Amino acid sequence: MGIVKKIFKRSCRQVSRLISDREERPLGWFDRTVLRLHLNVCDTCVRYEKQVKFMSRAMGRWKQYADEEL
Amino acid sequence: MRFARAQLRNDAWAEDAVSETILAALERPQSFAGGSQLKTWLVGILKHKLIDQLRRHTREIASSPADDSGLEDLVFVPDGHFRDREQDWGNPESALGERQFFVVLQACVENLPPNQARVFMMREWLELDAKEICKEMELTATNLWVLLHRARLRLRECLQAKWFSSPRA
Repeated sequence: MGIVKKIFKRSCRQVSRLISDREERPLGWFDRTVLRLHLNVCDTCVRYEKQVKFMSRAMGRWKQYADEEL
Repeated sequence: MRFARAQLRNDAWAEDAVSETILAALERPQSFAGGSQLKTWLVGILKHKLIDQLRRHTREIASSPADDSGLEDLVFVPDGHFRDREQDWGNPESALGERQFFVVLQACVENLPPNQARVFMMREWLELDAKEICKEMELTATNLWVLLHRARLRLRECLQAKWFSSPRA
């Protein structure tokens, strides 16, 4: 009961940190499970995940534009 | 120059980095391998000079992540959900084709607390790896992750407010 409850009780606040961290480091199995289960039921965090990836692409494009102008 | 300014967020430091780059290039023209583009070569030098500047000035800014701990209380309600759950950006890719979007993006990055902006630019623009950033900023890996996490939360809020929520033609 304990561990299942722990996994499902993760809030968006905690999961958003995992979404960011996943861009930086390999997550452990526990965090991966928490993330996967949460993303299955939470549209807001699915959107946030897309937004994080989009912001990274946008930075890349910005850099590309700046390089072209240099 | 704009590249240097965006990265350092300090005009004086940026000017120093750019002039050091030009000096370095003039001093050692032989290190320019003909095969690469002149611009690529100069940007390569500039990156090193920017890192030098950052290293020199790092101690002038607080690099502790503790100074922005209230952010998460603003973004999330007490039960841990996002306060604003309806931030649907639709098809954000179309923004990448609009010049104005990058003006907004730059303004949002510049509005970040200085240490968040700096690690975010080092990570996403200079594409330094975590080890290098931690070394330059004298951060632990965990502190770096916290800073990047907060930078992303803030950027999302800013882009939402300044771009994705405003009606555009």
